Amino acid sequence: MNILNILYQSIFAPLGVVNRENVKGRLQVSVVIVLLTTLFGSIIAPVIYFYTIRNKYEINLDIGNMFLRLSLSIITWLAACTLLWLMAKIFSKGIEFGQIVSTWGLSYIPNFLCIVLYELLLIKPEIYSGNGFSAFILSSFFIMFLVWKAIYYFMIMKLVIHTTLGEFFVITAVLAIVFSVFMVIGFRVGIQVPML
Amino acid sequence: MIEIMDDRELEKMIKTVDIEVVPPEGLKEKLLARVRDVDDKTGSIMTPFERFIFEKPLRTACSISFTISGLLWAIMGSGLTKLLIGMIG
Repeated sequence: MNILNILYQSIFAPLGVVNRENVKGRLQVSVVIVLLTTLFGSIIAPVIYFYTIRNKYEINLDIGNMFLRLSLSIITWLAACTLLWLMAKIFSKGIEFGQIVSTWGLSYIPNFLCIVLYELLLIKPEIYSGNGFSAFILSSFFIMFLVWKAIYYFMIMKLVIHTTLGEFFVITAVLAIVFSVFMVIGFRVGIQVPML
Repeated sequence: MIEIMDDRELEKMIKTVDIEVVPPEGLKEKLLARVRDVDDKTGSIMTPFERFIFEKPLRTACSISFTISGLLWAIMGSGLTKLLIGMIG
């Protein structure tokens, strides 16, 4: 399966790629998606923002903080995968770390699109006219990314880890606590859109 | 050379053919589950509702988000604009 096909399937028909099978090229696609998301959110978007508004306001480009955000985003991705893998191990699901990494990475597609929209609104606020209809469209997009991510989460739980209902609740409760901690740390260093 | 079968033997043979074959208990279910797993690439049994959502998650996400957003707009009116501005910062 080529890379573009995996990407297409991840977006429009994920049942073919979000499963326990060893899909060739899935890990590479996942890593690319995660790196693209973290790079865009931590480095590319702040640089574009800086060059767009530097003539209007006096702002500085905090390069150290940008790399801190990048590192933190990658660390949280690996930590989330490790935690999922450990939980799967505890419940004796017999799953490899690579399978978790490759499928969890695919769930970064909504994150990426959400970051793009968010940064676009920061860089070009004119696209939001401020009326009710544009608020309706924009909030629809943000909610859509959130629901889409949640569906990916359910898919990974059901089709990759093969959890029962009880295991699902236990894993979700543990992840909710850990993810909240990640989000708080992320906000403190300036990550506005959580990359988990 | 054609061998002519004895009438009794023939009757016996016909009877054995007519006997209904009953598979051992649970075999049918096992076979069905295996066929379903082969058919389903994920190897996991999904309910029709799960299959509907997982087949095209974007469709579900769009339907849910536009419904929620529409409801928010109807309830909050211009408050939705303020909420969005507040969230974006």
